[in-house]
Amino acid sequence: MSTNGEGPVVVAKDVHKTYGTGEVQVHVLKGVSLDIARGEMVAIMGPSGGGKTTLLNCLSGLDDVDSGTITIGGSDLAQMKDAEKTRFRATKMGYIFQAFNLLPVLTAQENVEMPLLISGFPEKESREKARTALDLVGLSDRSGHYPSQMSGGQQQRVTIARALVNQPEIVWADEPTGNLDSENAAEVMNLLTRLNRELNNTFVIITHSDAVAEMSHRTIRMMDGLIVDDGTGRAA
Amino acid sequence: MDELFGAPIESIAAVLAILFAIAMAFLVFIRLRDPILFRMAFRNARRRPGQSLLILVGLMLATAIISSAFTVGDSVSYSIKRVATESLRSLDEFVVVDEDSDLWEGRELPKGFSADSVLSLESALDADPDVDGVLPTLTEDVAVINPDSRQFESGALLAGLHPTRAESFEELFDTDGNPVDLSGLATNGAYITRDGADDLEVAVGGTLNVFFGPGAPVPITIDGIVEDSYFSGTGTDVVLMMPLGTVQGLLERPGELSSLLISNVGDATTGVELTQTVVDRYESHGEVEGQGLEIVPIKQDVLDTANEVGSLFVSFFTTFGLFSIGVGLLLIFLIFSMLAAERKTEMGMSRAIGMQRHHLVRMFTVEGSIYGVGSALVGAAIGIGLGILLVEGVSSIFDQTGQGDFTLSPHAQPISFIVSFLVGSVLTFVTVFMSARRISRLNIVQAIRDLPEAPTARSPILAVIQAVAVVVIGLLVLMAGWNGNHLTSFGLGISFTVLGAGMVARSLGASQRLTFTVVGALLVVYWLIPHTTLNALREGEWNEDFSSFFASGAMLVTGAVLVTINNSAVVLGLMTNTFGRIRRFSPVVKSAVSYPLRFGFRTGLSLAMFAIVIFSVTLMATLVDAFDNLFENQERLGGGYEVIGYARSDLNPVTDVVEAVEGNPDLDIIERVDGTPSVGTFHAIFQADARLASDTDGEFADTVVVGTDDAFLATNRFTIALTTPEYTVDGEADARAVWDALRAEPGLAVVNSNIVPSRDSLAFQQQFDRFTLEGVPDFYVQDEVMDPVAVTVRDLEVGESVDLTVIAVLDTFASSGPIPVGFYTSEETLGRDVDATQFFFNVHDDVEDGANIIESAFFQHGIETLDVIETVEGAQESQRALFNLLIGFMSLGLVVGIAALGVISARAVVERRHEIGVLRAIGFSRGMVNLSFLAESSFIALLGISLGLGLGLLSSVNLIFELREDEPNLQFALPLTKILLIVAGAYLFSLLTTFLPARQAAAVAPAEALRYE
Repeated sequence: MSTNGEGPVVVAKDVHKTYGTGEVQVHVLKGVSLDIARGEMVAIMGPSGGGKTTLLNCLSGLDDVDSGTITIGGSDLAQMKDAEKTRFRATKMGYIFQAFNLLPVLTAQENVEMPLLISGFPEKESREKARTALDLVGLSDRSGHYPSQMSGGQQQRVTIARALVNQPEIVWADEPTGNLDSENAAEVMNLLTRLNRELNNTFVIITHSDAVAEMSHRTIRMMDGLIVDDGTGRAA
Repeated sequence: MDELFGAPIESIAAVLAILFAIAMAFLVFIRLRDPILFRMAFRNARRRPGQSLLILVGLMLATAIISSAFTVGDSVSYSIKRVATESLRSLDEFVVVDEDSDLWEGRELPKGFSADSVLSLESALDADPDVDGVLPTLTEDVAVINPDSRQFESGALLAGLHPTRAESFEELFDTDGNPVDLSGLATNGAYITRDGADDLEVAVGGTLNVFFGPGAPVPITIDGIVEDSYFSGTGTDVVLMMPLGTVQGLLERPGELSSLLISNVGDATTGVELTQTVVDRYESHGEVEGQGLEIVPIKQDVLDTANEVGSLFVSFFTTFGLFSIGVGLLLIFLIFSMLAAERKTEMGMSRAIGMQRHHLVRMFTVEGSIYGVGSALVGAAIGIGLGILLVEGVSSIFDQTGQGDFTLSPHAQPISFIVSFLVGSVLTFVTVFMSARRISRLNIVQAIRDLPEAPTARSPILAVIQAVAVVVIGLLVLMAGWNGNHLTSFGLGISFTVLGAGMVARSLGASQRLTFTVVGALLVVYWLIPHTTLNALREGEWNEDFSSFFASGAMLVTGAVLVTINNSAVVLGLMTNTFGRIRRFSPVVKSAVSYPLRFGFRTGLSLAMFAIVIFSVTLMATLVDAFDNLFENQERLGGGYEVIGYARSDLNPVTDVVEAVEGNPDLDIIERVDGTPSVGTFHAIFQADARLASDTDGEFADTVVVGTDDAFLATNRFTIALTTPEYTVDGEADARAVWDALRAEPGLAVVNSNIVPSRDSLAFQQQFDRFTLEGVPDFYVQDEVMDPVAVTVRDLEVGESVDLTVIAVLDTFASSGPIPVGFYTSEETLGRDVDATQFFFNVHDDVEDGANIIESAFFQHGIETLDVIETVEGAQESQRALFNLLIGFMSLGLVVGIAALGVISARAVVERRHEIGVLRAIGFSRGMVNLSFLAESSFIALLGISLGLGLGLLSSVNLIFELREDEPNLQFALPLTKILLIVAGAYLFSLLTTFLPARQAAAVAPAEALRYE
């Protein structure tokens, strides 16, 4: 495992999460515990409905847990108020979604600038950082294009640039290659591993793809709301 | 128009401008603080031009309604001012006898004043740099006939003008444009106005006979026809102008003036600007105040009245447009909820990457403000167009009522446009801000995955606190209503308490369906309880005003919608069992009904929009028809008389009308009782004032006291609204007993109901500075019985006082008829001979012919007649036209409901793309998808219309039942055609609006729709 050797950046202990109110309730996470080290690239795999996305949402602070604790870089998410958690997300985390989820009314450049502007960066600095991020993912020539004017692979690369632009400690990716063909998928994964190597960000990736799992440091398998296997992926 | 709802329009504009500036400052703050949000908002607004257009149309309606109301007010106000300026010309003020002057107390009120007594006043005015003309005049109403054409005018105006001063006051011109010279007139020569010459069919050189008294008429030669006079606004077209001295001689009032006309420096429009200065300068002048005279700022008074009437029209139309304005605001709320639903994933993602909730609020507020400002601008402009159409409608009503001389010209003041724009913008901004706050509360995960929103995990304690707060507010309003005897507040208090109690139950875990079904049902039941039943809760009746109309509409619809939406399964079952029996339509009906019921919030809002407008229109249409039927009872308005004659001049009064009728064979058409002509006579003292006898320190206020002759008291069939217990039979007022009592006992009186306090007050009622019976304990026109009320009336014409005991109130319907508003007593009570002022006849033959024959027979006495049937029909026609116009205006709110359906359908196509794909994949044809969308809109529109119709009809039956306590002749009649037209129109346009989205839905390619999700 190639990590920087410091303590874990993400620590989850006995996390439980149930959805639904009234008669129909689904116990999605049934006591998940895990540690993720800084700079680690972790793949989470498992069948649909196994709790992967819920775990990612809870770990990333997008969703609250019913019980258990999650700490990111030593900060307990449960102790943070919504605004605080939002700021935390804006400065410390990046997100990559399966469906890209770019804002259709903004250009690639503006989409990447967004997290910086929201965090209060000056416009000029945001623009420069966004340009660098787009350059990093090889899309500097598409910065003025709107999402509708780009291919799926290009859109996902813009999402990656957006996720990395504020130099987050952790990048959460929910099936980043799910909507891409194999060629584009490989290209995106190569990009992610390169960035992980160069920038030493922590990557947590949900995937159904063995190829993606193989490229990560460690693969966690989930089933029915529990971690059933916490093995390794590619060699460090 | 200077005021609205009692506040100066400039102040309203200033307050709105400040609010608008605050809103704009907020936008500037966002622009500087978060430029990216600003950019996104602008681009989002441009994203779907078709949808943006629909949003603009929906949003602008509230502004358009306000703007149209302003345009009507402006037009009425402007037209009155124009007529005032054109008719008064240079005349700005005049000096006349002040009937309220203490000088005349205990003395006979003079008709004029001596020219010698105002010489120094005249000199002062002549030397005044602010005055450019002073004209001494003597005027009198006279009867005049053209002996050649036999055309006559009972109430012509004879005006004596100082010849040389008239010229400097303002030159008059003949029809060829040449200046006329009064000093050059031959003896008994006169100028006549052009309209007067046309009416009497007289030409230059022709002769008119003028009656100055009981003797033979005086022939007057017409020396010229002039375009106009200073007296155009005096109510007659026929004005004869002669030199002052000649008229003084003819009237045998040498050296006397009736008024001193004053023209300020400036023209007909600008002169009035100096009125206040001139009045202040001369009102205390020794020869004004000291001689019992006053200076009347006539033009300013007319302009003030124009402003008041204009404001009245704005208040009237705005009040009746309130439902539509409210519905417009609901639409804004709905539109933004839909926009948020459409952008849910984007918003979730934005929140995920660090956007705070307030960022979303700001972004939506900016976008909403773009729509808001744009739609307010367009709405204010469209409102002017709409207002012009309304003005045309009101104009035709004026024409029907025979007020053809008054032409209503469309006019819109810039400030009205600005105020409409500001009101529209500010209302939209506030609504957008509120809806943005609601929208921004989202679950990030569910938003990103576009899953249905789970119930908000609000703190249960907070929910209970909020619910209890609503109960407490409800109880406070309820208590305020009870203590203030105000039925609307009481009802709203009950409603809030019930709603709050429901919220408490819900927050404590009670079933939503059960709780809100009970709450909704209770609201409907309460607001349908007849007010007569609610009266049993307390002694006496509740005070009611127009607010109960709006409150009941809002609460009934809220209740009905709550019951409907919370019982969707029942509605669904009913619909599928009824319409789904046809196998082919079964899936279509199921899909069409399921979707709206699944989206309770938006469906509820749309239902409410339709229901509330249809409710108000149904109620109004039913009431209009019920009151329309009242006019059928002409006897009630005319007291059983068919022709009413008015004395326009007192120069040649009828001393014995019976003798006059008997002596004229033409008048055999008048009905006889026991061989004697049956003619009732009024002897009215118009220069009178009154106060309650118990209020010995109180001020006297102007009134009219009418002495009625024995024939009137014996034969009239006017009904009585309420009386003292001794004149009732089985609890009902016995009108005959009342009139017989007046006949038997001088000093007893009946009053017109217009001066009796009412429990029902209309917000836009005009207040007049006349005597009323306010202050008498527990005395309302709606009561069953009354105690006698002692009143002291002063006869200002002779300076004597008369004590009256009011024993009855005239029927409210008759009180608005063609009789003076004041006291009716026996002739003997007046204590002196008063000239006859009004006559009541019945005729054998055609009433219209009869009225003409009587007028012709009595014209030299200055009597004009009125055909009661024609008058009633005219009033009925104009009332009908006005209310139909109002119903049309209120129906405008339906446009909002229709636009809402369009927005919902357009959204549904985007939202259900995947599901359409599934339906198509499992066998739905294009036609079925199309039909399903149309059926869905039909379901919402028809359900909303049915709710509104049902509640409107139930409320109107209730209201008519209640009003029948006071108006037993009121009948419930279903205005089927009117309602059908409105319902069919609303439904048809709803279908048209959803036609395009339905086609788009049908055109969705199944493979494409299924590919992505």
